[in-house]
Amino acid sequence: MENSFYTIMIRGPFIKFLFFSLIFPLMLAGCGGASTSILPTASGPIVVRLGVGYIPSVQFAPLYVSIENGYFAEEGLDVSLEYGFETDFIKLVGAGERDFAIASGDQLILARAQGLPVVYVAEWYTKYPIVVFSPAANGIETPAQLVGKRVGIPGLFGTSYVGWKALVTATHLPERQIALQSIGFTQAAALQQGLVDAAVDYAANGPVQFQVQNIPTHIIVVDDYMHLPSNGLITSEKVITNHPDQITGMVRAMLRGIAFTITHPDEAFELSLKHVPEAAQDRETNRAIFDASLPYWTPNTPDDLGRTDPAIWPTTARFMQDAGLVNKRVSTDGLWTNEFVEEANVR
Amino acid sequence: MTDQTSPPSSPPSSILCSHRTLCVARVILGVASLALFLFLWDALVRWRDYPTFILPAPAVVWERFLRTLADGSLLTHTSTTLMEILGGLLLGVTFATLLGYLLAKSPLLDQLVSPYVVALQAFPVVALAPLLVIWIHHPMIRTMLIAALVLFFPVLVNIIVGLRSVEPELVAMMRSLQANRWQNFVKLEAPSALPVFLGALKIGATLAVIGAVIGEFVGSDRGLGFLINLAQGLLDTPLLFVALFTLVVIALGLYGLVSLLEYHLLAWKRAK
Repeated sequence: MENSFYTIMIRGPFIKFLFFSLIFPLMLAGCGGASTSILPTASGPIVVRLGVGYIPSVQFAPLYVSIENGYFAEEGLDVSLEYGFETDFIKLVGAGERDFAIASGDQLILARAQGLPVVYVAEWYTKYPIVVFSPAANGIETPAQLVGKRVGIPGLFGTSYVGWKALVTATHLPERQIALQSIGFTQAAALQQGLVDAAVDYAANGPVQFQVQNIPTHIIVVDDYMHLPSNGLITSEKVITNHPDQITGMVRAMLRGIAFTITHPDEAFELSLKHVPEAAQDRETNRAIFDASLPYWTPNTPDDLGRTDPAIWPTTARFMQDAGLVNKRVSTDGLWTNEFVEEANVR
Repeated sequence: MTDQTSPPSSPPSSILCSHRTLCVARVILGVASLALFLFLWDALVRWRDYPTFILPAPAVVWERFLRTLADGSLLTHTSTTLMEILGGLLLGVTFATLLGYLLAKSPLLDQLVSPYVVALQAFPVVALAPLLVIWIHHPMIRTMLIAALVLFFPVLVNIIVGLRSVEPELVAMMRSLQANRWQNFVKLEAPSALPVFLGALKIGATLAVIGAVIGEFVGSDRGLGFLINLAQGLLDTPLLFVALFTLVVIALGLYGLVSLLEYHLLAWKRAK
């Protein structure tokens, strides 16, 4: 039993930590060059691994619908979902290791600030899905009532933090008079334990947990105060140059999945359960998650399906700089396009 | 006590050198290997023309380091993490030593408690950490506890092994001299277990770094773990490297300090 520095480092969890934090990016670097996402087979469909930043969930119902109903297959695409972290997938797309991912528009502005050549090609979420929720008993119905209160947030980074900053910026809340506390992803539990008075979360997470427990809840929707580009399909500049037809196919199939889900929610939910069998064991909760997500996928008019609002990109970039989320003005030219949505022509 | 009674520890001379020429040679070798590492790293970035978000060049990381240092954030995050590491180390090593002594001395207690200790070790701390956010409200205390949990088991096992490795002949001799429990501990058990204890401290010091980072990953707004989270969220790879290298420096520093302690405390072994 020799406790040399080497053996400690190699045997201990330090090596795992180093792997994911340091060696993984190096491996990513080592793989640079050849794209592994779009792989045309000899005669079959093109294999696409679509990165989504979460675990298997009914929140990806439109994508499951596109797979199950054969929309991707009709475009000559064999799509499978790859679950992980949103920021990792943005990097993978930027590095040319994946051709498509689902990512939030604000994260793309962060990515562009770091020089990643990623482009937003179709909108999925029509509203930014971050909310501030609290038990009704706490009496927090408006942003102004958050002053003097303790607000829990997963951390001072990521989509939740962007949503929080958007809310305080849009409503001119005095941030110093609000005790913002990092509580990890424990929002509902922290509220129930009285550790915080309100919490920042995704609309389909914490508020739904309260709903299924019949806890009267007040919800402040960030999108009601500031409109930000939300989740959508992203790709890289390289794919736009080399495989534009495949992008159109991906966009068309995804939008057909969204449209079907909105018009046939019951069928879409059932199709999703094939991909998330665990959800079938708790149908009530998962149906509530699905139902809470639907309004965020529904466009104002069928013609708006998939189209991102050009005006929100420069305003979001300006807001993010003013809020200190990026340290420079990010040009949004070429960061998004509706070209493929127009071409896909899904109503 | 012979060398056979005390489990081997890393030779102190691996960190400290007694001869001046040897010292100079080691320093030169260390600097040269670091320079070679930086050169190869830089060459790789230039050769493959990697963008900064995939693999930043050493100069870019250095520039980011200077900026983080200048705005004071690196110092704030480093001091927080260091305090959590030291707190976790103190907590974990203290409890592991106390429990280790009791388990080494009492086979019955060992039989009763060990399954629970092993079960605790089987718990992935990463899964437990979010729950600790609810149970323990103070972020720093929570992170210290997580660091202590991560290092507890390996240190405990080493303590038990160290205490049980006392030569039976020496135990018999102390008994013939009618030594009481305290004399037994001070004159025989503690010196016998010291090399292994110091080895355990080395393990604990490096594991405490991991524990602190795990603690900061969930529900924290300062510390190097938080800085890693922040860098990942901002896709700021140079900042990620700054945080990682700072952690490496802390781990190396703590390891070096324990080695220094070992060098002084085990001087009697070298004199033999």
